[in-house]
Amino acid sequence: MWSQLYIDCNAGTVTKAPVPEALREFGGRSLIVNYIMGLVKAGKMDPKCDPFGPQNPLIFCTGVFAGTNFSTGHRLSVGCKSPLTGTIKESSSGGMVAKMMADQGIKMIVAAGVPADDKLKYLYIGKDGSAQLLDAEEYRGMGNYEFGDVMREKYGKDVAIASIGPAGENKYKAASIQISEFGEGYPSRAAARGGVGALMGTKGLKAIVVDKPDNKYKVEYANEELFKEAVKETNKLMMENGQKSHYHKVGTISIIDGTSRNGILPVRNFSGDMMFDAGEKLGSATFLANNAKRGGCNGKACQPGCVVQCSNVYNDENGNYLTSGFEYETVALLGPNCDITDLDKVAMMDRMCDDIGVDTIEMGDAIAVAMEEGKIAWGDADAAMALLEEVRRGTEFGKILGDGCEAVGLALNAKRIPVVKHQSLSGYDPRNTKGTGITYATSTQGADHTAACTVGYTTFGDYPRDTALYVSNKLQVAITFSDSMMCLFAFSQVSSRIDLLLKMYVGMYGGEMDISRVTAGLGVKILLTERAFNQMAGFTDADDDLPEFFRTERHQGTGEVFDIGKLEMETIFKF
Amino acid sequence: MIKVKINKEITEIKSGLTMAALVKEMQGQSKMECITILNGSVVVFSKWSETIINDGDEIEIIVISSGG
Ligand code: SF4
Repeated sequence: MWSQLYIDCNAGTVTKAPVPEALREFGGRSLIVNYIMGLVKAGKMDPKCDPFGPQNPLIFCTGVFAGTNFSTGHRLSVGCKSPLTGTIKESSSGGMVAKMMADQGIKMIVAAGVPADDKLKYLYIGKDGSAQLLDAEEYRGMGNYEFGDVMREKYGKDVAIASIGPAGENKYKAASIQISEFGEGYPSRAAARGGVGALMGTKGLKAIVVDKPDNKYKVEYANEELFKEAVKETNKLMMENGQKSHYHKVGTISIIDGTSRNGILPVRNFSGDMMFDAGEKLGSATFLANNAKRGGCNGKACQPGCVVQCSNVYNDENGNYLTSGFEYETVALLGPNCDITDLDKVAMMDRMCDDIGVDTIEMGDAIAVAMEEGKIAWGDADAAMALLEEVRRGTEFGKILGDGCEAVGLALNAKRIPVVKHQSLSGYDPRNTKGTGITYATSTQGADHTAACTVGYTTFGDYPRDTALYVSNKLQVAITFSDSMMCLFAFSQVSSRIDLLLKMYVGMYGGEMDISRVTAGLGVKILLTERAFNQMAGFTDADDDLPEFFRTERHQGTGEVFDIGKLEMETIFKF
Repeated sequence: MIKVKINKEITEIKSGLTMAALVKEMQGQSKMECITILNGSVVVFSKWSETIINDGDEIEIIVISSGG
């Protein structure tokens, strides 16, 4: 039976118990909202509570197929009421932690309450399955890279690590939780969005370190044969499609080749300008050529068993490791959105963000706002890096920047602040991908492309108005159920075969072979429950909108504005 | 006509085609953006119109969608 670890941060204790029966069939995003709503129903959590207060739990959990050989079934979901947005939050990451939790037989780890003192600790789960809270004061202020090295030195190379850097320790609202990746263990995967790292800092937790168990947990199946048959077919399909995809052939950086020519790429704080040469300077050609010269790589798995393998290692010009898990969003927002077109400089900023433990999307948007307001010059990568160093050091402006894009905009009296529900927009200009714009506006998670980026699903670019609503609606449901199961990029390879996912689900948990268990049970119902939480937290339809400037300022390249009406968007959650 | 490999399939195409023309032909009505790889190297968009496809070339045309 799967276990849960419960950390009472106030008492400084850890207890292990079986996962409650009511949560057995959930994982990832669905587990998080059900756990949180369970607390709300039991009167233990007020959705209006202070996200930094004792009522807000921090949940780390695996997906519904963890522990099996399902490719990409070991995503880690981190959930809470977001310190950044005030909404419900599920922030997911690849890397090794979920796999190691599953091998330990742990489905979820809940950090509850707040510590009575301000001592920093870390949770260590040993080879024998024992769990202890240990003193982490000596690691205070340490970046995620050095911390990972120290832990591997102490416990051996097999440990999987979820840690926070200085930003999380200082409870900055853009703080991430960095996750060690498969292979070298670099802390380059991230549960980055929504300030989950700030909550981990509030809990006084520097890290969760999970060792490789002496005895690997054996998953129980309702019908192992059925599961094995379905997983074989699903993995095969994922492999066939995934290895042909841009994810595998280049990595998500390739997306900039397309977005730079159709106006989807954000340029200079979503100014609506075009930057046609960004694709060549920062995209596939430069990335692959540098890798070939410098010994980096692409086509890498961030977790064992992934057959899509979209990850990478990017080296500096001397062939030394610079960063990994180097993604489109990071390049788009710390690059052209800040008028920076030097891939090496962007890679350096990515490395800094991972080390300090801050969301690269939030930083890219916040620095662009700071540039627009004259704090530093457009395109000045060195000045941008100096600002990131201020986050590490906790200077006056560093604290503001660490709180993200909206905080910077408000501090500098900016007019153009690209956020929805306090979270900044990712690398897609909503004037030219209206389906994604609808997702930004209506997502239960704040502006979040992973909730349903409609780019590429039927056309790359714009949709007719009614189609955009339709696609965002359908995709938000599909992504919601896939967030309980697998990696988003893998889902896009098998999204035409939901029947196979259902077969796996029935093979694992038993019950009826009814597709609505996936689409409605893990999709629509979860989405509506998240929305209900947000409403109880005080959000209304009025919060489901984009910043006004996307409606009033025409995109220079395409002449488009975001023109989906508020009333139209309110139909998005009518199922 | 010349023989080339497009996404690993041997295909006959008109001789003298540019990469831009080939992509257009392959895409039909689709607005999907893509990247192109010719004999192992990415051909950047600005070179599509001047890159002539030759007999025996191996070409990959890869549609791009969204990322994380
Ligand atoms: S597709 Fe990419 S992000 Fe997803 S599990 Fe595989 S390597 Fe990780």
